[in-house]
Amino acid sequence: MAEEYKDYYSILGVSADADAKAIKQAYRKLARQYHPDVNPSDKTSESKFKEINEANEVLSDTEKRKKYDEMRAYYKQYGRWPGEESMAGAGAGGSRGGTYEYRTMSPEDLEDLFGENAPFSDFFETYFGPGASQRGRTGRARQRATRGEDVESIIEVTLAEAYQGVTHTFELADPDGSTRRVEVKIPAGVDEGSRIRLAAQGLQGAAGRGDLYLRVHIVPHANFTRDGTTLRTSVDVPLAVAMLGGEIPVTTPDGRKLMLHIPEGTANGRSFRLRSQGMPHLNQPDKRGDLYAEVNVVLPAHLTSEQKRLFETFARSLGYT
Amino acid sequence: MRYTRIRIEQTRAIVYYSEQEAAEISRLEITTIRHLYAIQVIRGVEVAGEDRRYSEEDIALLRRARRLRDDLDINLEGIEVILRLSARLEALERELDEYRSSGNILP
Repeated sequence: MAEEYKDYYSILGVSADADAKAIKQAYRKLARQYHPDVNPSDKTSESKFKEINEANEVLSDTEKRKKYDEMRAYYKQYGRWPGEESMAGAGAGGSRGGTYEYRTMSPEDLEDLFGENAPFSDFFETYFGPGASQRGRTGRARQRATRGEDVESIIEVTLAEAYQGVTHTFELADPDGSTRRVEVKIPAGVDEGSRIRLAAQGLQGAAGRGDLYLRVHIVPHANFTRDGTTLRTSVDVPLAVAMLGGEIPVTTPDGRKLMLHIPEGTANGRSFRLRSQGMPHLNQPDKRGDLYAEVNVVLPAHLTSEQKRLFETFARSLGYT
Repeated sequence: MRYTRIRIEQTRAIVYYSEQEAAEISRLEITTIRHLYAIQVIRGVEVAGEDRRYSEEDIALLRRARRLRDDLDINLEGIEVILRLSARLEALERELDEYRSSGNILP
C-alpha cells in the first residue's frame, strides 16, 4: 500500500530551503489559526491541524528533516518513495521508523485532543513513527506489565484516627480467592485523598506484584471540621462565664481536655485559637496546625420568678426599662 | 478483631508519576509543574511518607499547559486562567448533565 505523498513544506507554506526559524514561525502562525484548543470540535480545523503538526514534527527536527529531504528528492526523481515496492504486500512496514523524539506533539497530546483516531498519517507512521512514542503512558504500562499492575482501594479513616495515626489490619483478597492479612500503619495527618502505598501488594504479574494504593476517605466528625491542618470546633459557654470570665474545657479529637481561658465579656461566636492543637502535617507529624474553638453562649432556661426578678433588676441597672 | 477486607482487582489502571517522570512526559520544567501544583491547577497525589506524585489527569493537564505555551505563545498567567476556566466549565457541564438526566427540564 502506497502512502499518500505528503508535501510538508507546502503544508506549512514555506520553501524547501526555509531555515528553522521560518519553519517555527510558519507553524506558530498556522497553529494559532487551527489549534484544537482554539477551535474545539471543528472537523476541518482538526484535520488541518493534524497535518500542520505532522509537518512541523518532521521539519522542526534536523534529523527527521534530513531524512524527509532525501526521500522527497527520491520521490521527485522516481515518482515513488524509496523502498515502496518491496514494501507492497510484504508487510515489512514500521522497521524504518527509527527512534525519534517527538518535538511538538506526542501521540499522547494528539490523543488528548482528538481521541484515539489516527493522529498521524500512514506516511508519517511508516517513516517517522513510532519510536519515542513508547515513552509516557504506554511505556510505563508496558514496563509495569511484567510486574503486575498497581491497584487502588478506598479506605475509611476517622478524624480521630487521622489526628493520632493508627494501625489497621486489612485482609487482602486476590482475584483467585486467596487472602492474606497485612498490618498497615496509617500515619497521622492523612487527609481526604491521601494515598498510602503498600509496595508489592497489588496485582500479581509474571515478575512480582504491583503496588496497592490505599486512598483515604476521612469520615466526618460530629464536633470538628477540618481544613487542611486547621481544626474547628465549638464550645458551649454558660452566659455567666461569658460575662464574668472563667475556664471551659475543650476536648481534642484524641480525648484530651484542654482548659480554655474565657476572658470577661466574651461575645457569642468569638473564636479562640489553641495553637498547635490542630491536625498534624502528613510526613511531619511533629508539626501541627491550630485548633479554633468558637464560643457558643448558652442562655439559662426556665428561670424561676426570683431569678427573673434579679435579671430585671440587672437590666434596669444597665438602663433598660 | 475486625478486619477490613480489600479485593485486589483491576478496576482502573492507575499509574502515578514522580515529578521527574511528569516533567519528562509533559516536557515541562519541574519548576513549572511545581508552580501549577502550588496554584492548584493540578491536584497532585499525596503519598504518605513519600514524594508527591501526579495522576494521569494531572499529566494531561500538564501536556495541555505545554501546548498552550509552546503552540499558542500563552504565558503562565494566561495558562492558569484558561485551565481554571476549562475546569469550571467542565464541572458545570457535568452538573448540567446530571440535572438533565434526573428528568429535569431547564427553565
